[in-house]
Amino acid sequence: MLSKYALPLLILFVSISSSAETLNFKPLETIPIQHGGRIKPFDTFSREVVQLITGKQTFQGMNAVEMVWSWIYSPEKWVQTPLIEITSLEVKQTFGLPKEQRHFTALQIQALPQFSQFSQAVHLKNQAEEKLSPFEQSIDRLSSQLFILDRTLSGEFVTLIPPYEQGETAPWIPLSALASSDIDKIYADPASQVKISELKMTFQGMSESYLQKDPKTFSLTSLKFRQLLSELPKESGYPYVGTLSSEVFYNHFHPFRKAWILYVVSLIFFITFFIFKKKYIDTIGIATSVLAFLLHVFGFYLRCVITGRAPVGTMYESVVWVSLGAVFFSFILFYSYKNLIIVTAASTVSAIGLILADNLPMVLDSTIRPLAPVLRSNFWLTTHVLIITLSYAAFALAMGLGNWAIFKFMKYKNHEKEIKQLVQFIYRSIQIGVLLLAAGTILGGVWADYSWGRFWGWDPKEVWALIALLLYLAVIHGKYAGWLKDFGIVAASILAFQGVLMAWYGVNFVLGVGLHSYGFGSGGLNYVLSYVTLEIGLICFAFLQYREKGHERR
Amino acid sequence: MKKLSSYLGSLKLGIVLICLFAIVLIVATFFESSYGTRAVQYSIYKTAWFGLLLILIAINVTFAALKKYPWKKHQVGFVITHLGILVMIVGSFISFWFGVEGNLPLYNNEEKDYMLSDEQTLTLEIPQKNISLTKILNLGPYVKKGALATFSPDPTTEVRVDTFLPYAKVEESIVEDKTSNYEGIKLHLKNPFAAFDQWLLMNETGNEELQVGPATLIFKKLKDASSLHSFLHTKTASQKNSLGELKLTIHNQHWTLPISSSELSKTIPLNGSAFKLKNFQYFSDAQVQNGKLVNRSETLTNPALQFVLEGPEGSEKYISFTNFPNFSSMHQKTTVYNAKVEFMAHDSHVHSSQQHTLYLAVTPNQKLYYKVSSAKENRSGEIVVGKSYDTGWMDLTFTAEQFFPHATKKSSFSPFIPKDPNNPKALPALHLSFFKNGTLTHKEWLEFYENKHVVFEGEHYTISYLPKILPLYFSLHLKQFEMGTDPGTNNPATYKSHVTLKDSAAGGIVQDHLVTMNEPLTHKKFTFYQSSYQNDEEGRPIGSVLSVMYDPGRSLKYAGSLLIVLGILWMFFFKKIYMEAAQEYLKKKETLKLKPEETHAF
Repeated sequence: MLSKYALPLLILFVSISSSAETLNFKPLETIPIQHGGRIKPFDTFSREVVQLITGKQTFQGMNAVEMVWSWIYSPEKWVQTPLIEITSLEVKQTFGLPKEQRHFTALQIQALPQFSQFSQAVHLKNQAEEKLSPFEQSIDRLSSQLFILDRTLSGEFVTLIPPYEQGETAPWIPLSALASSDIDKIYADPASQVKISELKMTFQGMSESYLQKDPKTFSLTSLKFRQLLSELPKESGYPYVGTLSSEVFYNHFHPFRKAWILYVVSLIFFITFFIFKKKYIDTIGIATSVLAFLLHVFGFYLRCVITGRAPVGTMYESVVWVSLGAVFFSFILFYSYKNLIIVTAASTVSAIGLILADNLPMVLDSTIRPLAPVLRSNFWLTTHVLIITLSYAAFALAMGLGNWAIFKFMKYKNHEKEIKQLVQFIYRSIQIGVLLLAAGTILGGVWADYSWGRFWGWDPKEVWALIALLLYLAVIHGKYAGWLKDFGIVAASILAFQGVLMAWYGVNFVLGVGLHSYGFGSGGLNYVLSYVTLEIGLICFAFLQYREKGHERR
Repeated sequence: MKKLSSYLGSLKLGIVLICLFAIVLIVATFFESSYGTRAVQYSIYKTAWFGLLLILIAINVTFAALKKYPWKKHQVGFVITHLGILVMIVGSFISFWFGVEGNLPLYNNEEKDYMLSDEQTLTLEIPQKNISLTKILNLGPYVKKGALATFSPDPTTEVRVDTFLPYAKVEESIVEDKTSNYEGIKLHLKNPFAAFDQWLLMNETGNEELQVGPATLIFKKLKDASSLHSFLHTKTASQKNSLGELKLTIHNQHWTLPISSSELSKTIPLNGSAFKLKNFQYFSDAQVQNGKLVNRSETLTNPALQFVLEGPEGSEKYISFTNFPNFSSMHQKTTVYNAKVEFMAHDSHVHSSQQHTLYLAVTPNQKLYYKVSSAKENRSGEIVVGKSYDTGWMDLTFTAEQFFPHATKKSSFSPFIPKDPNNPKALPALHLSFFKNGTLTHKEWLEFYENKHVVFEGEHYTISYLPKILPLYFSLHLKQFEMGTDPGTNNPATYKSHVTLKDSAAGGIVQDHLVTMNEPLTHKKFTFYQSSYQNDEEGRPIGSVLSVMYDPGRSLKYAGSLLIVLGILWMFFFKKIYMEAAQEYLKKKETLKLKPEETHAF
């Protein structure tokens, strides 16, 4: 008898308890919020804030949106929770914090003796526009982590209430305003007053249902909250639902992550094919890389839709674009030469590029930001940047093929024919690159002439584009002069790419001067330097091997 | 001859030049990273040897193409590309030699018919003798010494520029000077949080005032014993009723003056200029009635300050409202001085409780006295140099560290090494030596943009160190500069200059134009680009900076660009057919055991 009811009861019990654990934050993800100079979905805002503070987009099993709402509802709990990530050993040492610990509580950092003095000194340096040392940069990061956490906990940073009839650039009103009477002064007309008091009550309801873990009420109040916000504004075009939901989709979908995983999978197929020479594996490999490429394109397209521009304004975006270009060119070359090595090299380059973009948020910041004034709405700008970075893609492909060939050179004897082919592909890629780089650099001149009044001003970014071009021109002419043989071209395709790397990354991160200072930042130098050293070491090693084997051959 | 031309056009020379050019450019960018853009332009890009390198490349490119004449079909791309490079280099030289570059800084409501070039000029004038001598100085970004420029206004006089500092650090100090009638005192102020030194130098009014943080320092000259008595024994806490602060900007020079009720009747000179402020009128609640400003009540509803600015070109009336800081700029007509004024009224009640004043006084027999007034008590007494005195507020103590009965202000210039050479935050300076009959009798430092009056051997000189002025032959009037921001931030998003172009020569043109980033204005041969903006101390934009260009080599550079791109494309189209041919050729050669080096296959 009892057992007859036990099962349904059990199901009921389980369903209650499981639903009690899953508060639904979905409706809150697409709420528009003004942050970092643009209107973005709450989801993106949360990810950026949580990323900045904790170093990750999900923390302690909570996703970013849930985390930020939790901060708002129970701030007193979170100031005592280790949230703030400190990676700099120097900072930990200076303040006597345990080295192995990664996250610290806000209270802990605020109580650090002399922290405010350090922070103040860095602030002054920032104001004076002086360069910061790595230690000072870490202090700067810690200060902003602390500041932003504090402001987010208090709701002052959560500017999701649209302003009252004040035009597009007016600052939005923070959530904390709901606690004061300030908002009643802003929305002073009777109709709005009703909405505002309703909004206050709904927010209160959300807060209580969250704390009591009541999913039903939470869901209802969240939806009501979102609806009330959209009903508030008088003239501006609030909801922006279309782009905001595609941005939320983009955030969740991670197209570039899926793309690199597929590139890696295609690589596995290719390598399996090279070893076992089994039929169909190569076809599966190509199909996988095409799929990866399509995802890559889709992600790029989404980012275009979200930003409303060609996304080549930041280092992150250019890495994504160059990876895309490398695969694109490999498909073209594959079409005419029918050689799998081309796609293999491109998949490797593209996978590495996307893995770096996905995993180095400090260096390759994926945040979507408004562009500097001079970069806005200009056809020539977009064209010249796209073309120049596309040339980098061709050179990256040449470099990838060059690396493949370098390994072949270590066992020169059996691969003579393959190497000849590889050199041909490398040379073809370099030709594509040279055309694009020359055209792009010249278009850059056209743009500079149009917006600054000078065609060429010896600006470091311009000069380095020219240096890269000269390096590849030297390769082309060197081949014609007979100075560069197969090994020479392979080595040069790798070495000249270091010039591209300097033009692409180094001018912004190493030299740090010039008019093209929109994407300036720091960091990642160690990765780049280790890459450069690795490549040079590889070439030297291969050269020695190649010479030995060459003698043997004779 | 043929040998020479084949050498000049050889592929190997070409490769050497390409590599050399690349190396020079690599060095140049690293040089720029450490020493700044001006330094790299001066030391590399604009030098004769760099020009020579470009000419060598042009020669090599030309001969490489000529060598192949008569050209075959597959060489068309190659010839076009090389021609393109030549045309582009020629275009660059034309731009370099005949082009004009300049800057046009304009404040809101300002009109100019000239621009400023990057070149610097030094002008020496002796108005009595109607002498005016100007020299252009292109001294670069490095410290230079020696006879850099010499002026000889008459056979016995010589004025020589003997030191140039590209970035000068100017330090003002007070030194003893027997010829001066003003006293100088160096105070050391200290509390647990801060310590600093402050010089006070008496002026002709006998009352020197200085605002240091929340405290005011007042240095008075006393005439006799009775004034000393009243100085020491009058409680002064409530005497000074501060009304607020007046900020003034005239021609890029800024002043901040504390305005107190006792000063309203005074004439206040602006330090370092010929301007004076007078006829102050303060309103706590200003309102316009019958076209005149009246005070409606004593509450601080609409505080405003009205005054007369007196300068070399007459007097002007200004008014500034605390609550509407932009009112004057919006409603005032064009003025001669175009001063920007801003009056910040204090909440008088709050302010008087925070107001701390340290009075210092010097008697005719050079004795020093002090007085501090606080709500509780009045401290006063004689000052012994080197001894510390407690002020009674904020644990602040002061010490008179030095006292000169005869003191004068002296500026010392020293070379300054900027942390960021592209944003040096320092101006260039020149040192001038004045010689009479071969003996050095006068020395003077002159900062860039400075205009100085010098009396030398009984004659009045005016020396000015200014950017070179280039006439436009028409004028541009900036109506308003606007800076748009990103939503909810102060990040600039757009720059807009609303200008009026006036050209009387071209049939009296008066046109309104909008110059924005990427949207320049072209008139006659000049093109005006939105380059940057000028702001006040709080970072608010108050003017625009346009860059002015004339580039006669432009069409050649565009033609060259087109040729280069077309040429490379052409080479691409024929490459495949041609490469196959070349490969066959190579195969043949290999069988014939010929060296592949001989195949200069372009």
